[in-house]
Order: sequence, then structure tokens, then C-alpha cells
Amino acid sequence: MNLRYIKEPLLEFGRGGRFECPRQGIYNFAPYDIDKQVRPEKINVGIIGRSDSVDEVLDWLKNCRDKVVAPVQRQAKHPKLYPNFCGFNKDNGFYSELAFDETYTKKINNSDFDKIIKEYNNLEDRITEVADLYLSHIKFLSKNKRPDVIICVLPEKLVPLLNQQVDLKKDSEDILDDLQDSLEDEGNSEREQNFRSLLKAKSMQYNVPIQIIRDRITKPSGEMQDPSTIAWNIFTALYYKASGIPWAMVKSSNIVCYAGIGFYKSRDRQTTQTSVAQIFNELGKGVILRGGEVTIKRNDRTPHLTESQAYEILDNALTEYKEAIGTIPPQRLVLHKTSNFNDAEIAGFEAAAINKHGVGALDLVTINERSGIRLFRENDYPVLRGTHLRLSKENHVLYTRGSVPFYETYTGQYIPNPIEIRLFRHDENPDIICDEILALTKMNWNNTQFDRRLPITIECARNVGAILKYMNDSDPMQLKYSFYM
Amino acid sequence: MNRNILLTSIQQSLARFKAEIEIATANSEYNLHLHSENVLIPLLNEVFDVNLLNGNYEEKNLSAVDLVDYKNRIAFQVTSTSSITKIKNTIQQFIKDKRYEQFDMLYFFILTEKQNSYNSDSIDTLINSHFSFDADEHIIDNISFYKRIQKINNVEKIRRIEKSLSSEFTDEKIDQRKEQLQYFDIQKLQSEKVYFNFLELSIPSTIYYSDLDIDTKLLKARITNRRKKGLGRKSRHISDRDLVKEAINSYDKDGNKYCQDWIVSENKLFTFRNLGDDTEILSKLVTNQVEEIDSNEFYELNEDYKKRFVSLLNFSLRERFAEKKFEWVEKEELYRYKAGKLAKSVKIEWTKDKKKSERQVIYERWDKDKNHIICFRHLAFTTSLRNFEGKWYLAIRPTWSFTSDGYKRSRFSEDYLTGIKRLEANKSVFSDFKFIGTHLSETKNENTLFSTLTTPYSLIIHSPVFAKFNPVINDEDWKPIREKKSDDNQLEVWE
Repeated sequence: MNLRYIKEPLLEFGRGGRFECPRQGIYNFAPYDIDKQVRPEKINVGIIGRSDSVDEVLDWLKNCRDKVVAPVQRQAKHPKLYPNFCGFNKDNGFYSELAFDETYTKKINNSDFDKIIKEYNNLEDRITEVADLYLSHIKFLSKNKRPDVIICVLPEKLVPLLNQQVDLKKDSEDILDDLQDSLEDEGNSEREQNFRSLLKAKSMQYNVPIQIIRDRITKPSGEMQDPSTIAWNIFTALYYKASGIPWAMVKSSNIVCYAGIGFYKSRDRQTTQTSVAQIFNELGKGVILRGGEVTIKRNDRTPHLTESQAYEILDNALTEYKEAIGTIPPQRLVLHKTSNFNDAEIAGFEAAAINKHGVGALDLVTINERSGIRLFRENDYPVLRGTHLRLSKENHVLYTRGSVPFYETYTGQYIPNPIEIRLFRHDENPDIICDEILALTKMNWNNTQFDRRLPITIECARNVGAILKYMNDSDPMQLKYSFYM
Repeated sequence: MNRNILLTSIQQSLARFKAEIEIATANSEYNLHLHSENVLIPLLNEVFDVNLLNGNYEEKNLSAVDLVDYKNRIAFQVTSTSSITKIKNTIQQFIKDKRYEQFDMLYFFILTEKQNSYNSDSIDTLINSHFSFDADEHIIDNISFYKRIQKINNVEKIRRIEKSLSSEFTDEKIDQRKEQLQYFDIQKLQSEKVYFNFLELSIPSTIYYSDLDIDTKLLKARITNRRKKGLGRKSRHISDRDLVKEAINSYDKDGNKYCQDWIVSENKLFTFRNLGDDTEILSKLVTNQVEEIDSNEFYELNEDYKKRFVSLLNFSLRERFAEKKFEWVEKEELYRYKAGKLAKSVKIEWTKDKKKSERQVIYERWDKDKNHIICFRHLAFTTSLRNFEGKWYLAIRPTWSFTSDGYKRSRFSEDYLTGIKRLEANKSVFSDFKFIGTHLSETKNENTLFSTLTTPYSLIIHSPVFAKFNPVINDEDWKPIREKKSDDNQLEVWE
């Protein structure tokens, strides 16, 4: 048993630049794909929403062409955690610009929203109707204008009404006070209801990634992220959704691919779960696939694939990956899963990766979010992000959250909860496997603050599952992650 | 760019590298950390076709080597000292630590300039055929390294080397390294304590087991009867454990104390208590055919037996913690400090860093007008048992339990808990852990308050341990973790 420190992994940006912070990296060196032939120099965006919300967001997007200054107080305290946004324009930072005009803008009448709210007291119906309202415009824009990304602006007052059952007899202020403001809440209904997931799922058929933006981001309140952080996050996501590569992991000498296997429950929370796999390279390019259904056993609540399911899902993923990315199979494949691997799964994955696809090295890694293990310093700041405790050759604890020297602070509350890493099969050195997991926590293009808790392999599986559960088997699903984030 | 232009660019970058090192090493050898990471590792990996990593990240810095590739069995010592003494000392250490078992090749990368020649005889004597070493080939400096690059035929490879080098020697990159160096130079010189939240356990060596010999029918009837009277939950299924509990309790009148450190499986009772001992209450519930099994053998049998063992160990710990006044709360799945018959604030004495100290374990929270107590906050913890590298550990996570009267869970528990956790930082959680860990462990006898343990078997909970770790954080150099706000008085309200 021993401890070591993994230095903050560097990311790769344009012009060969390497840096630990995505924001400063883009600012200093430009996005990773700056020198590539094909990259989004101009991003055509479509915008859909209520008239006044759309105008507010359009103004905000225009203002973001120039520098967005972070709040003075926050910046004075933690300058590197709250850098200014560089401005989204063709002359610096992303070296890209947004293009939109009236023909790319679809405004929804206030009365259309009001009608739905009045007529549909049932949450599921209301969510479906509002989603349909947006979907009709997404369909129009995607067929007639082919934008790179469609921004769906959500009026703030609508958010609580899409979250859970509310008593409409109360006046609207009370309703707003009463309800949680998170869109991610599942609500209390028998079937899970989530507007975001439904809209992403149903819009997939139109082949244009969407970005949902709440109109309150234009005037963020004190408890929200600050204006510059919001700008960094949204423009990075837009750049990625328009097929750009904001940053990449530092390449190893081999061709390495990272895969995540996840499971998601159906909306009626039945005992079957569906498996999902994604596989991608250091650039974040990859594919997403749905696998077979697994039944949860009474004596073991953990979902497991059968040998043939494991074989099939990885075989399909590698085949699709080869077709979509156009490269030879990876020399090394790292597979992350949140539950333990049983013998059948190991046999299935080995057969697909090694025997069928000729992958040279295979690492099967369980990432357990609930480790009982903690480490304590004697002072107020918790241990460093990057603290790696080797419990044994196969068992490791990794602090992906914790004190960050670059930010000179810990960005969380209470004490950080490390992840536990179990190696069920590994060809690579365990230290390298842990280094990579830390690096993979930085590969989330939805967030430019780099001290994320989970590697993108696991976060992606979760996000994809949340959306796939709103799709029927016959609905066309997209292979790219940009449709799910 | 053609080959010659690429090579010229590489030569220039190497010269800049040497210049930067000369300025930087004026400070200390710790600069190597950063230069190795950014410049040398990618460069050597490309030129030697290897996959080096920084050996200095190992907890106990790898002696005699800085950069290592375990797979290709190659190691580099990076140094700014070119003397034969340095070379010999390193080789001596390399052999002493049997590094040749991990690495077939040892290279020296001299950051300054290597000597014109090295006395190979004295080196060979040292090496004594443990591994092969040729000073001309294995001691490299900028010039010989450049010569090696010149010999590369593959233009693509040269292009990659050029790209990697030129990108590292832009003005921005050099400035960045200077900035980072300041942090690492200071931090690498120091180390600090990092405590583990798991305590090693010395488990009892023997498990006793025997077939149950109890009047199931009678016991069932008694339980059902009592439940009918409204004592206990009516609908609950009567488990084997319920029956044994009932059987033990029926002996209470004889002055026997109830114990919970046993499990039932397949109509057998398993415990660390000696079932062959007639004075042992559990011996009255089993047949005379008592069997023994070595604890290690038991849990190593298979996963199923391991689960049984963990269960037995958990129940035995419950028994132990109960003696230390930490009661198991099934509904909350945690241990909390037990209130007395009349719930009130409780402080207990313990030895903190060799000094007697008082520690509050139950807090009262009064209403604004100090008319009545709203709730009690009990020091609590959750546990998990872990086995790694053949040893058992008890991981402890401090938390709080909130009751309305010392026993019943407060309706606002979750809100209170979220509120308090928002205010607690590492130091206060560590302080809770250190208290709990010391209080539960047996190895330090200074804590005489709880030396009257009654379990008749040797289950030892060892004291909390720490490791030395670097880099360190100098908390005072950073802004305070939390600003004191006017509404941050919650913690004080509890005192």
C-alpha cells in the first residue's frame, strides 16, 4: 500500500500547445483542431424559443463576441478559476464565429406555451406538448436551413412547470417558490419525466445537435455560475457540437481507445436494464451504441451482461468505430464500467477485442463511485486532486476531486469523495491506468472547469442512458456524443 | 520542411533546452521534475521508441533512476552532474536496490556536457555482470543525443521530434515552466502527513460453530405472541436471527448479558466465542458437537464464506462498539454515540496527541428563546470492512445523527446534515475521525476509560496511521477555504 501524486494532466491544444487548464489552453494556443483542414470556423446556429427569450439570448450571443469579464470579487480571490471569457470571434480564442440571422430564428408565441400549460395538467402530456412545439421548429430548421447546432431557448418561468406536478391553482410566484429549479429532477410520477432528455431523444432524427439554454443565463443570479464561466461552457459545447475539437488528451505512443459500458433503467423503472457502450480516442471522436437488455437478479442487484452480450456490444462498437473513425483497430483498449466484471463479461470482452479485432492490450476497469476510503490532511484544505492510493495491485483509490494547485483552492463542499478503481484484467501498468482516468475527467466539453469527478467514459454512459430511455427501439439513434451532451 | 531544416531546428531547440536548464538548475535538482515531464519524456519516448514515465512520482522516489519504462525494462537517470563519481554512485545504488531485476538498461542523460571519457574498467567492476553498460552508448548529453537523432532515417519521425521540441521552446512555454517551477520547487522539498481512514484489524484466529439446538416452535410462538400485543412489528417475518435473539434473551434472567457477535447460517451458529466453554451463554443454544475452523481458512473458502465472515466480523464489531457507547442504528445504517436515559449534552475525555482532552459527542440544540431542546446532534460514523493484501481493515467515515429525544430520528435530519456538512471542511472531519479512530482502537493504552472490554476473544482494532506525502499544500498561501459569513453561525449554535 502506498501513495503517490499524479500531477494535473496536460491537455493538448492548437499549434502543439499543452496546458492543464482548458480555458487558458484555448486562450493561449487556440483549439486543438486550429490547423486542421476541416474545423468549424463559422458555426451556423438556429435558434428556437419564445420571442422575448430569443431576443435576449441573441443579444447575449452577440455580446459574447467580445470579452466577457468575470465578477471582480470572484476573480480577485481565485483568478485562475474565474478567468475572463476570451470572446467568441475569428481573431482569438476559438478563432471561430457564430452565424445567425432571422431566417435561422424560429419564435414561438407566448400564447402557444400558455395554452399548453392551461390545457395539460398532467406532467407527461405537458412535457410532450412543449417538446413537440420545439420539435416542429427543429424539423423545419434542419430540413430547410441545415444549421450546425440548434439552440433551444427555454423561458425560465416554464422550467418549474416541466419539472413535476404542480398545483396550478396557486399563483405563479408561489409555484416558483415551491419548486426546485433543476431540470434534471426526475419528479414523482410512475414514469420518469424529463423534458431535456425527451427533447434530445426526439430531435435526434433531424441530424442536428441541439443546445438547450435557459434564458436566465443572460442575467445570472448570484447562486448561478458567473457570466464568463457560462460563456466558456456554452461556447465550448457549441464548438464541439459543430464538430470542432476544443482540446485533446495528450497522445500516447500507441493507438489507445477508451470505452465506457453503462446500463440504464427504462422510464417505468422495471427490472430490466439496457446496456450502452461508447468508444472513443484521445480526441474524443467515437461512437455510441445500444446493447442488449439485462435482467436484474434478486440476489445480485448489479446488472451484468452475458458472455454473448458482452461479445456482441464490444464487437459492434469496435466495428462501428472502425467505420466511423476510419482507422485501424486500437492497439490498446481500456474499458470502464461502474460495476464489477464477472467471468462471463471478461470472456465476452476478451473474445471481441483480442480474438476478433486484434486489440493488442486490454484493460477491464471498474470505477466505483462509492468508496468507503478517505484520506485526511491535518488542515482545512482536503488532499490534492491526483492523490493516488494503491491499496493493492488491483485496487486503487483516486482523488479526482480535491485541492487543485492550479486554482489554489478546493472547489467543492464538505470533503471530496474519491473514486475506487478495480482492475479485473490489465495489460498496462496500473499507474498509467489511473493517470488516464484522471486525464479523462478533463474530457468533458460541457464543462471547462477541469476538476470533474468522473472520467468522461462513465459520464458519457450516464448521459447517453438518460436520453436513450426516451427513445423507442425503432427511433434512429445518433452515434456521436454531441447529440447526448 | 526538408530533413536538413528539421535537423537544424532540432539542434536549435536542444541548445535552448540546455540554456534553460543551466539557468534553472542554479536553483535545485527538483527542476528536473518539470523539464522531464514536458520535454525529456516525450523526446526520449520518440527517439528510443519507449513509454517512459516519471519515477519521481512514486511514493518512495525510485532510487538511482528518474524516468522508467517497466514494460520495455529501460530506465534513465537525468542529471546535471557529469562526473564519474556521480555515474558510479548511481550504478552502485542501482545494484544495491536490485533495479536490474526491473530494468535491463540504464541510461544517463547529462543535461550539461558529458566528460570526454569515462573509466570503463571501474564501472565494469561495479556492475559485475548484473546488466550490460557501455559508457559511450549509455551516457548521453545534448551533443550525442543530437547525433543519435541525425541517424534516424524516418523523416516523419524527425518531423515529430521537431514539432514536439519546437512547441516546447516558445517564449510562452518557457514562461509557463518558470511559473510552475516556483510551485514545485518549494513543494517537493517538504512532505506532510496524510491519514488513512481505515484501521487495521487483528482478527480472532478461530471461528467456533455448531448446530443450533433451540426450541424453534416455542420461540416462534413467544415472538408472535409479543408482536400480537403490539410489541414489535406485527408483519415482520421471523428470521433465524430473531429466534436466536429470543433464545439468548430467555437466559437473561440468569444474569447473562445479551450478545450480538454471532451469525446463523444453515441452522448453524458461528461465532468467535468459544462454544465449548460452558460459561458462554451461546453454548446453551447449540449441540455438544462444537467445531473449530481457522478464520483465514474460513473466509478464503469462497465468496459466500467471505460474505458470512464479513457479517460475523460486523456483528462482533457492533458488540465492541456498543461497549464504547456507540450504538448501531439500523434505520440509518450508522453507529452513533448513545444518549443516556435522560438525553443531554455529553463530553468525554480522551487523549489527543498525548494530551488529555475533552470531546463533545452529543450536542443540544435549543430554540431561539432557550425554552426547549429542538434536537440532539450525536457524533456518528459509518463503516465498511475491506480486505487487501491479506489484511482486514475497518474504514470509518464520520457523520452526524440527529434525534428529537436522544433516540428517535429527527424529522429534519437530512436538512440538518446537509447544513452542517456545508460548513465542515477537511480539518473538522479529520478531527472527528481521529477521535473516533483513537476511541475505538485498542493499541494505545493511554485511554484507560474504555479498557474494560468484555469480549472473550482477541479482536484488535489498531490506531489510525498516516503516510508522508508530497507535494504539500501550504494552506496559509491559499485563500481561506470558506469565508466567514453572517449565516455561518450554525456550528456555534450547537456548542
